[in-house]
Amino acid sequence: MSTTITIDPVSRIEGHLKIEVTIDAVDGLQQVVDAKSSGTMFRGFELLLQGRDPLDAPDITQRICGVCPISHAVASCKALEKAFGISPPANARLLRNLVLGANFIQSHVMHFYHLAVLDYINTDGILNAAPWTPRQSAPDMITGPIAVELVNHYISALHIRRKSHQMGAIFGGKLPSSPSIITGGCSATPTTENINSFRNLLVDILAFTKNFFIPDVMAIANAFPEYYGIGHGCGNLIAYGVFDLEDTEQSSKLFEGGRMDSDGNILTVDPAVINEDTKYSWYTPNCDARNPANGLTEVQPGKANAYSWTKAPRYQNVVHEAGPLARMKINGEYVGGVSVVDRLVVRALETEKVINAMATWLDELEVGGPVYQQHSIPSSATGIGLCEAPRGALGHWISINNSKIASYQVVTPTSWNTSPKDSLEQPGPLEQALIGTPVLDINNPVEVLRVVHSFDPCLACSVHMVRPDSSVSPIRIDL
Amino acid sequence: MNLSRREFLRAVTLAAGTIGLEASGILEISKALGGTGDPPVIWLQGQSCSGCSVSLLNSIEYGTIDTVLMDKISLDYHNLIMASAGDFAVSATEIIRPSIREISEISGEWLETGPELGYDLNNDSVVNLQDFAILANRQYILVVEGAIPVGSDGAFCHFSGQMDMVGALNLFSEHASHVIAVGTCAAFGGIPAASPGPTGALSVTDALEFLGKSKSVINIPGCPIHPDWVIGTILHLVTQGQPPLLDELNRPMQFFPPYSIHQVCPRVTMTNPYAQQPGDPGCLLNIGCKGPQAHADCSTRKWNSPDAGQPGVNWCIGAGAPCIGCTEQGFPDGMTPFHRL
Ligand code: SF4
Ligand code: SF4
Repeated sequence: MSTTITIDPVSRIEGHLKIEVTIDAVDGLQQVVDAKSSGTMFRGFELLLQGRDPLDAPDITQRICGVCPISHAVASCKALEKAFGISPPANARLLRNLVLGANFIQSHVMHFYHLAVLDYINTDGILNAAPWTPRQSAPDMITGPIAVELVNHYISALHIRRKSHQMGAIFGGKLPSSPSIITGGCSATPTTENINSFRNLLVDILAFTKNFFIPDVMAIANAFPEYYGIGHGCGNLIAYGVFDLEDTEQSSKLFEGGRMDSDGNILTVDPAVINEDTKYSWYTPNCDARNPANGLTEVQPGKANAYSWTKAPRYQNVVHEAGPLARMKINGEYVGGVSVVDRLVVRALETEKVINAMATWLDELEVGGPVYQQHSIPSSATGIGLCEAPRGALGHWISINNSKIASYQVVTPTSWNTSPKDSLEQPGPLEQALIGTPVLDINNPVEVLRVVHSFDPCLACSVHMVRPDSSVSPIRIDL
Repeated sequence: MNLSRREFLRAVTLAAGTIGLEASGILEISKALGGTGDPPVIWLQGQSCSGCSVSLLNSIEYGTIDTVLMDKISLDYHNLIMASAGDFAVSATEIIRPSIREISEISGEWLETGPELGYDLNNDSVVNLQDFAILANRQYILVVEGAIPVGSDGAFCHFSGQMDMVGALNLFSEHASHVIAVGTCAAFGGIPAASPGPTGALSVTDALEFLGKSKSVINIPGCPIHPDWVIGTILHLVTQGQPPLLDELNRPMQFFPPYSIHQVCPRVTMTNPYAQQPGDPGCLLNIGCKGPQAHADCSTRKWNSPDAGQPGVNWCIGAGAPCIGCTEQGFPDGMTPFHRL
């Protein structure tokens, strides 16, 4: 007999996520046979941006997500710069890469140590107070000295993620949310002194990554080898690419964009064939199957069969997973598979690669060189800004009319990853990854949490758009 | 040397790796020491980007976040970092039981309310977070991050189970000793409440009024907040038992002074010439700076400090970017356009 359990709220993620799984025995093994992933909060950024000065977009869209604000700032600036027909100078590109890199590091370190690792170690007797108690536990969790050591590294990692922010603030102004990343370039200027301060912090963070982060991730991978076979998901990967290496629109990137199908073929990305399906999302049928360039967001709470505020982006109707695993595999930097453990491992490996690249970008900065390209706001134009957040492909679509924002759409990696089913009844990547996950104890579904956390979902990102529907009843006071 | 229970436990935990102490040994020690005794804090997230929570992790002046969590407060509920998930997290029994025990010892209320409500100290009876809210009468601090959307039956922001954020605010504010609105969204509505207000997002103060409650709220705006502003205020509450001195917008004056950022800005005299574009050294007034409208100690405290007692490594204007007035009631609508070409 099947049982349905609901995890609501899912914690140790950014934002509001509810997971519902149906568990049944298949071939004598109790496992997930159906899964629903629901984004349960939104704010309405699309509508908030309409009619505003286009130059406000990078500051406002950074506030979509406090975990990956810099990715939004860069995607937004790129969309605007494309619309304006300008390219920022080399210094600005490098400074943006450095602040974005700092944000990648803090996000990856925080994900492993502060969001994911508690799924794998038994901290009873080690961390005996809130917020680490109460906790779900499972018999396969690591105990003893290794658990103690990982808890100690959990604490060191709190300092490392703070230092990553400190490092990013040197050129960003502050973190989270960096005011220096603006349309046309960057407002911060490199000096010998601030380049050196940045480099000193980078050295510490690299040492931590090599000596602790990568070995700790490998320790988890070695202790849980069965998770190389759990949480595979859709098997199709997508990346838009990130960290420009040249000052042209077609710049090569540290991570090139692309797609990989489940046979391992590398394919290209054409943003024009991305559509957002809304059959199972709380939006009206008018919104369905639109490319973000003419996306529409009209809410319909209570819509029959819908279960999420997240839309379902699809590439030519095919489900794709975004994230560091997509970036690393598409770029030939990782040859492993697609699973819970592969997702954890690549985050650590990617961190080292980004840090090494950051060291070369510091060398390329030109003290006293320009950081900003002057521009004027066209009366009408459109632009697309493609970038990557730590958790995957991020796109901003802007259209400008009368020199104001006429429409603005954002498609985030967590929309790809935690999307609900679509009109072809295909579950989203996380939902597919959950199906088949063995669950030992339905009162303690730790295995489910491991799969969910491996995607590093960020729900503030995935659900941000709404248009009020006049048919919606006004306000309830039955509390 | 005197160590608090938490300091002692932490020292043991950190040393355990080197001296080869088994985890179970630490468990025994911690059991013998009993409950934590630290003031409980319940942190709810409404319509937020989690930026305030992430910024909180950068705490330094009043202790790094590990020492704050281990030695200073008991963060009983926080979605981003708490170990547990789902109903289990919401029922939060294990953490709360010792706190309740202490509260009842302190207030003497346990014997009266306990049996009546069916709880028994000597038993492992279930005490969930909601009951805790009632039992811990005026003994916990409620922090709310993010705006509270009251539109469309509360459908725009869910808390757990059948409860939306409006319900969660109603429940948890009832018995909180203090309510702190963290971030401009919670303090003043912020970006979710910006024109055209698509979700009926309200500040905590306005949402409480909407619920018909009169409850004072300490506002700590900032988009996001500076961690010192929040930890400093919480520790003031814990040690003094009452709110710090507040301005007319209920902001702690220690962090939000009556003078503007502009009045104490290092660029205030750099007007010959003014900055013409980002990256120029002068005053940023002509390219959109809202420093004259903003009240916060950013120019002296600065952001992302390396160590206690040291100013931060940078701030908005230090990085050549105009202040966008992120701590103000008028943010963002009254502050846009942020930039001027
Ligand atoms: S930069 Fe801004 S805050 Fe500083 S003096 Fe100029 S206008 Fe005032
Ligand atoms: S300088 Fe202005 S925009 Fe920057 S953090 Fe302070 S108040 Fe906010």
